[in-house]
This record gives sequence, C-alpha cells and structure tokens, in this order.
Amino acid sequence: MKYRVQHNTEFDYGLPVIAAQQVLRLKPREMPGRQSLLKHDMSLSSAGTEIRESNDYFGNSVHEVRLHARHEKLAIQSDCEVDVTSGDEILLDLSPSWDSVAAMLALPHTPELWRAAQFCFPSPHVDVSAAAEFAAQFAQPGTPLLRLALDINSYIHREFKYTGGVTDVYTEVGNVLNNRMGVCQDFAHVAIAALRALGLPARYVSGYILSQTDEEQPALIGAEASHAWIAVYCPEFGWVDFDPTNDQITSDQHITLGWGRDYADVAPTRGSILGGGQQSLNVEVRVRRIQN
Amino acid sequence: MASSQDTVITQNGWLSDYRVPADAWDELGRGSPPPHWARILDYFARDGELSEAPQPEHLRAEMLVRDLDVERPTRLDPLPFVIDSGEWQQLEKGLTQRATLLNHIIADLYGRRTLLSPAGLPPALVFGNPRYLLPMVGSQPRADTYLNLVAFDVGRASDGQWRVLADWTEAPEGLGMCLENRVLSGQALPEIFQLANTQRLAAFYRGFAQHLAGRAREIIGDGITVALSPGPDHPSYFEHAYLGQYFGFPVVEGADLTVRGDTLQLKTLEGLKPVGSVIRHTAAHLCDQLYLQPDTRDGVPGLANISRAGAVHVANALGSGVLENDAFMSFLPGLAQTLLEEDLIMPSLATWWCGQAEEAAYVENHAQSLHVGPAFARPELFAGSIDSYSQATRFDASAPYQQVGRELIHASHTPYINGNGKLAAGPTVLRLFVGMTDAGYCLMPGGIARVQTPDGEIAKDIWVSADAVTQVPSVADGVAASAARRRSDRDLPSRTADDLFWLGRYLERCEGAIRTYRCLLSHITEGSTEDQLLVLQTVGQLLVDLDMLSPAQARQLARVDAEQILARQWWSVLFNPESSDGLFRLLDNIHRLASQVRERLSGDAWRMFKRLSETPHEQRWRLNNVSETLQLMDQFIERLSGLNGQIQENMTRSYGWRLLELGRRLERGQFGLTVLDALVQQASSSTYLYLLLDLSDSTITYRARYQNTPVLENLLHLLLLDDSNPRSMVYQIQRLQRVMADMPLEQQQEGLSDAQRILLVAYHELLLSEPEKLANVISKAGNRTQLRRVLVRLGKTLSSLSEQVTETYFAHTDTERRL
Repeated sequence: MKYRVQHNTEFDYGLPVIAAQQVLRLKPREMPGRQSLLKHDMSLSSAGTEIRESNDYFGNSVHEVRLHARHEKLAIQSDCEVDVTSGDEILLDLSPSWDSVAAMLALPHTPELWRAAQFCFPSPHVDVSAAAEFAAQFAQPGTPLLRLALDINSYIHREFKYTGGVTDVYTEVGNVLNNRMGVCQDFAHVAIAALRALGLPARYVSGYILSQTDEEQPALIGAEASHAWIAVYCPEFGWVDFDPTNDQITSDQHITLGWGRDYADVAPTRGSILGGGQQSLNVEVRVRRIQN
Repeated sequence: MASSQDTVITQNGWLSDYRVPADAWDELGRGSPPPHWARILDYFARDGELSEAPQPEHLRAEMLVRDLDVERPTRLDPLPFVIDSGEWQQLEKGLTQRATLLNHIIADLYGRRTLLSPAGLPPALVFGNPRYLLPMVGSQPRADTYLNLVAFDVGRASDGQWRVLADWTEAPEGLGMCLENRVLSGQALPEIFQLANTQRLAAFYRGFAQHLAGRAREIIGDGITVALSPGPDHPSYFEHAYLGQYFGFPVVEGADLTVRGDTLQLKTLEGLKPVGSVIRHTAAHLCDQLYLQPDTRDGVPGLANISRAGAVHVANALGSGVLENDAFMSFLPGLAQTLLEEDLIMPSLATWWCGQAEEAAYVENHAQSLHVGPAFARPELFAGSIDSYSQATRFDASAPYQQVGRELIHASHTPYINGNGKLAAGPTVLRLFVGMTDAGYCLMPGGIARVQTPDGEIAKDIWVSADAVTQVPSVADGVAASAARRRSDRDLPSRTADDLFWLGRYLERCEGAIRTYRCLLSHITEGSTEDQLLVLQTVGQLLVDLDMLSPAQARQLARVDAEQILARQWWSVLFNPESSDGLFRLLDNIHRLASQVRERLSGDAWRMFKRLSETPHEQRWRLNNVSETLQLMDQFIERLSGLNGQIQENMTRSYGWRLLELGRRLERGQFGLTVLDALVQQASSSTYLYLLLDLSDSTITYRARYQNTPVLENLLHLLLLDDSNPRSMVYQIQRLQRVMADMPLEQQQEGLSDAQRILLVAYHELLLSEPEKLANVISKAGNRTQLRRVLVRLGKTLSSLSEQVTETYFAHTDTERRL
C-alpha cells in the first residue's frame, strides 16, 4: 500500500526568537520487506538555517536544524511517499513462552538476543517498577510471548479511555495506570513498561496511521496526528508491532518513522530556543493513499 | 629521626585522646610511628606534650580559610597526612593502571563495543545503568582519551592493604580543594613543609592543563579551553571558579556556549570564539537539551552530537559516568585481563552485584554483614561521609540488578587535632587523582585525606616526600605555563558582561536609594512643620518612583506623627523579603550578581560585597528609632563608598571594569534625572533646593562654588553642566562616551556607532542648554517647560543607550528554553 504523508509543524513564538535549534525525526525509515521510502522532502520557513542529517543510535534518520536569524514563527513541512507491505500472518500461539524468553534475555547467548536485551530496562519515560503489579496479572507461566503481548494490548484498549488533553509528553506511566486514560503515546509507554517488568524487550515506535479508510472522502488535514505504538522482540519472529490504541498487530496501515526505547528517543520534534514569548504549536498530519 | 619515635609515644600525655579500635589499622603503628609520621609529630610535640605551637598555626589555617571565603564542605586539619615513599609508589602504579583500565572499558562501551556481546558483560550492567548514554555511542575522542581526570577513594583495611573504595569517572570534584588545602597548609606550616621535602603539586596541574589546551589547539588552531559549570547555585561552584582561575580557563555556563556548524563557540563580548576543549563540571545528562535530558538549563544544545564527532574534546567524555558505581567493581579484575592482559594491581573493596543469581543469593543471605545499596547510584560527590562505607541496609529482591552488596571495612585511623588541642584518631579515606598529561596518566602527588570525627568530616592535605615521586614531565615549561595562566579578558562571556553591567547599575541604584532614605529620615527628626510635611511627601513620592517605598508607606509619612509610626516599621520597610519595594531585593540582586562574576573580582572586592549584603544582619539593628536607622544608612554609604573605591582603584581597566562603569554611569544619570524632575518642578523654595543638593551629594561643592543660599540657576549649572562635578549630567555623559569608545565592537565599526552617536548628540545638547533660561522660563501653567524638555530628552538618551548596549553585547544571553 502506498501513502503520501504531509506533516506540517508550526511554531508561533509570540515574540522574536534570537536562535533556535530543532532535532527532527520526520523521515520514515527504510525497512527491508516491510516499508520503503519513495520520496521525502523537508522544508523550513525561515532563512539563515543550517540543516544536518545524520542517523541516531537506533538508526533513525535525524535532521538537526539550527536557526541563527531572528524569527517569530517557524514552519516545518515534511512531505513523503511510502510503500508499506503487510507482513506474514503471525501465529501467536506458536511463539515461545514469555518466561523462557525472559530467561534467555537475562543471559543472551547470541548477538541478536544481546541487541534485543537493551530494550528490557527502564528508560526516561518508562518507569518499569510502576508497572510491575499491572504486568503480574498477565504473567501465567507458559503463555506464548506474543499472546501475552496481545493480551496486554487488548486490555489497554478495552480498559483505558482514549482522551486527548489529560496527559502530556511528561506524564508518567504510574499516572496513566492510575487514571486509565491518555493518548497513543501513553498507552505505548504503559504496554512497554509492563513487558519490560516481565524482563521482555519492548520498544516504542513513532509513525502515522491512516485513520480514514474511505477512499471517497480524503482525510481532512488536521484530523490526524502522529501516532505511536510498540514492538516486542520474540526469538524466531523478530520484532512484532502491536498497536495498543487500536488493539491490533500492525499490517499495512501503519507507517513507521522510527523507534527507540520510548518517546524521548524518537520525538518527531524536539528543540530549544533563545528568546520568544508565549508560544503556540500547531501540528497537522495528513495521510492519504496513493494509486500505484 | 629514628630516635625520636620513642620519645613521642612513650611520654604521651598529649596522646591520651588518640585511640584506635582493635579491628582498624593504626597509621601511627600502635605506639611506634613510622619515621615519616614521627618527623611530623616531633614538630608538634615539645617535651612530651603537644606544644602550644600548633594552636596559633591551627588558628591561622582557619583564618586563611575564612579569608579565602570558600564555602568549604569540611574543615582543614593543620596536621597533614604523610605517606611513605615506598607505599606511594605502589599506589601510583596501581592507580595509573586502574585509570588506564577504566578508560579502556569506556572506550569499548562507547566505541568498539566488544564487551557488549554474549562473551562480554551482562546486559543489565550496561543497559540497566542509567548513566550509559546511548546518544554517545560511537564517540571517539582524540587519542581515545575518554577520561582526563579520575578520582579514587582509597582506604587501608585492617590487614594493612590499600583498597579502592570508589572510582569517580564523571566529573571528579576536589582538585580545586586540594590546591587550596596546599596553599593553606603550606602557609600555616612553612617550616615543616620544607623539612618534609614535600612534593609540589604545580607540575601535575600544569601537565593536566597543558594537555587539555594542547587538545584544544589540535582540534581548532586557536581553540580555547573552557570550564563548564552549572553556575553559582552548584555546591561546588567555588571549586569550579577557583580551578578555572588557576588554569586560566574561562569558567562558563551552558548558555555561554553555542554550536555553530561543526564547532563549539563561546559567546564573548567580542563575538564568537571557537572552543577546542571543555573541562566539564556539569553532569553529563544535563549537558545537552537536544540529545540528552531535555529539561535542563545547564546544557548546550547540540554539544553531545559534536563531541561525539570529535569536534570538541570534552573532559571527561559525556557518558563516562557509566563506571561511577559499585556494580562494575567486581568485574574489574576480569576486564584487566581481557583488555590489558594484566593483573589488576590495586584490589577493590569486595562487591557483589545482584544482577547475577549467585551474587544476589549471597547478598540476600549476608545482608546483615554487608552494605547493600543502589547499584548505579552513589551519594552526591563529596557529600557521602565515610560512614556510608560501614553501614548495613536491607536487601530488596524486587529489582536485584539495581542493587549491590559491599563489604564493610574499617578504614585505617589517622591522627588529627581535636577541639581540645589534643591528638585524636579517626577513620580516614584518601581521595587521590589521576590526570591525563602529555606523558600519559599521572597520579597527583597529593590529595585530600578525609577523616571522620565526632564533629563531622575534616580534611587533611596529603604530603608525599619529593624523592618518592615520578615528576610529571613537562615540555617547554616556562612558555606554556605562562600561556596557560594568561587570563584573557577578551574571552569575557557575554552573560558575565551582562551581569557586570547590572551589578554596576544596582550598586549605583542602591547608593541613590540609601541617600534618599537618609534624606527622608533626617527630615523626620527635625519636627513636623507644614513645610517639613511637604518635604516628606516629596521625598516619599521620590522613593515610590524608585520602587523603594510602597505608596501606602509613603502616605503614612505625610502624617504629623510620622516619626512614631514609621520608627517601629523601619526594619520591615527596608528589608522585608516579601516586599518588592525596599532594599532587600536590591541587596539580594547585588549579592547574586557579585557571586556570579566572583572570579572577576579581587578577594578584597568580593569580601566587601559580602559585607555590604550582610550589613543589615550583622548589626542586629533593632531600628527602634530614626537615629539608629540613620546610623545604618551611614554605614551603608561607607561600605558602598569603600566598594566603589576598591573598584575604581584596584580593578584593571578591562572590559569587566568598563561594564561596571557603564552600568554605574547610566544609573547615576537616570537617578539624577528622576531627582531633578521630582524636585525642580515642585517649587523653587530654598528648602527644595537644599534637598536637591543633599540628594545629589553636591552640597559641599555648591558652597565652595557659590557661597550663598541656593539659586536654581546655579544649581542647574552645577548638576547639569559642570564637568568637574562627578554628580553632574555632563560628567556622566562624558564618562559614558569614554567607556563606549573602548568597547570591542565599537572599534570595529567605521565612524561612530549608534551608541556613540546618541551620546554625542546628548553631549552637545547639554552644552548648548542655558541654565538661566531653564530655570527662569516658566509657562502660564507654572511649569518650566524648557527644563522639562531637556530632562525628558536626556532620559530618552540614557534608555536608548541602555537598549543599544543590551542589543549589541548581551542579545544572546537570554536563557534557552525547551520546546
């Protein structure tokens, strides 16, 4: 399935900003067999801009943008075309039991397991100990790992209320667990914390999803935003993506930007400014299917 | 020397407080001190008693500490810790090897990553460690030097063996303190210092600084080295400032630096200057809000990325804190084999990291006899008392890899002089430093011995005799040393410049406020005729305009019984911390700014600043009546004058001085305008004119010039046009012109800068004004419109000059904000 994604970010700083720096993770990853990037353009509204592209630790593409000229507004436009292939159907119950995987990861004996093991620990937005109790209810010995991951996802989808505006990027896992509401990124953090509490490797995936599937009515600009879900590592299966917000294993409707331990590693934009006043941020994401 | 051993110990009246528990090692050899100790003790002992000698020296050391005014975490014992040459060489071998090993481990963790494999380390040890910074993976500093400075806490166990108790790899503290201790103990005990043939520290510091400066130049030809500090709020800021000053490296905060292209730049008064290396005092995760922890104010956005690319040498490398924990310790012997193919020379304290099943079980079963603590966290640098090395805590099974058990040790006991002037014994841990020099890792021949006493921790200088030590070799000693010490004022960070400018302004504002208070108070005492009440009202209003009195307080003044009402409230009027009016805020700001620019101030000037801000406290002024309050104001004026004299007479005419002067002249000009405006418009009675002279501190000058009762015309001449009166407007304008002409960016421009143009216009307008007309042309409504026009225009001149200076020199000093 091919998509065009337009992701516009606009900062209005209220007062002039003397210098600004932004780190952008807005370029979809190449994922052999699952996703290929057909085209990507990035443009910035402001003159006097330095842009540098590099790859981060996780292999995500990063644009570092520095603006040294005075400006009151900054618009970042990212425009890309991506081809996404759905993976093979996954037979969850054929996956190894979660407890055997946890034991394997404690003392990984292959480089691949070793690499996966780095996703088993707390990270800035993922307080693993806060989710220990929550995770325990899913941890019947012998449950196939991917079944357990789906159980956690379904539970979150069923019991947690998708509510915008009650959380922000700094909301902690413990709070989301208590209040049982939040947005996709909170749900992803909770699911990750629960999996890691059981000693399992889980990562955070940032991307987009096509929420309007009716092709007669193109999705409205602003109706969508960037999305987030999780991936679990399972020996023999590799990394399998789950979307706790939509209670599903991802297929060809999820467009991956990048991944990391949590939101902090892959935030689409992160920046720091000199000067400025009361500022506002406006993000518009538009995902459309395109014909072959 | 050998014969003295016996005399000291056997006639031991003064050793009656010296007791060492049976299970701890005694540095004094349980009655027969080794020669290096005997030599020191002999000096202090006379006829078998601790002589009077150490007392004055003791006091002198204390006094010196006070003089330096460092907020020391600990007291310095006049008695040094001395160490035998053979033993020191062992420590030297062991600790330089250990530093090399730690550097290799870090190089592997962030570089080749061979240890991050099935044959290597357990994943939890690295990835469960919050100080392993993923964004730094792939960094490769020059010569693979991740660690430029490592500190080790070393203690001698009951068996007489030295063990490493802690490795400090992030941003080790204490190097500045060592230097101070040495200055103090060398000054307090010069004779014995010579006698003991003590190894000097200077070569080590020089070698360390030279190496960093060399790295900076390798990276960028004219690259400088800076010391990055979180700023005056950090408990060890004094050390950062002290050390920076000693090395001749500008002490900067995150906001002073910026990343441009592929280089790190220092924002200075003269523009951007490339930075090649950084001594880092700021914790790594706080160093970059873009790539590391976002909610920090101490970082430089983008620093992590360019330091990973090797475009700046950060000492120590970001992420080197990964080894600053007890969990790694038990892996060191194995890693020494793997990475160095050597045996680890210095043993560590035994530790059991609970990320491994066997070790966890051992700790759980022996929790009573071990110290169980967090695996990846150590107490704040220097805050941990030695006590924590011998206290047991509970084992918590929920996240075993986050815990570590460590053996309890009884550190060896050393003598110190206690409050009774006797020798006492306390457990002692040495903090020693290994630094990278052009000749590789070197152990500093000295350090801090920390002794636990019933009254808290105290510090001792460590003395190593000169024959015991490998000299730090240094090439081209003389030249490089003077280059390292050359303090370039041209590297003045813009933020510091901004602070100095405001310090100048606030000092002057303070003086103006106090003169006005004094004027007000002196009128209260003289009774309360109609005329007086009017004066009170006017001065009260002036104080309101200056934000020095609230409108409510000013209204009270206009009452007949003002003296009684206000007398009781003076303290709160002046120093109420809740109020935005009054002196409290002002003194607070002065103190804050002075401490931020402290490394630019002489010791004398800094002490005077402190005394100024302490004035209200130290006197315990009750301010029961007006005359006491007046005395306090006089004292303030005295201190301010002393301070101003200090600045004028003892500060070199550097940019620092110019900025203070700029702030001061601007503020004095504005104060003068406010006073003129408030008084001249009101009336021209002699009462007001006297008041005006009083507030302008020009009474004497006027009398000397005119020898008659004040006439407005003369007075205006004196206060506006008399260029020999340091309070006149023209005088301020001339000083401003002179200072602006010497500011860096003004010189680069062709012709006059905007600021200079503004001043030139103001100067000529002032010269062409005619005091006679200004004083005597009165409109129908009774206003002196011409005078008013002149005052308004001057006011505009001063505020646009202030804007120009801010725009040109401090524009980039705003603090960065997170998005």
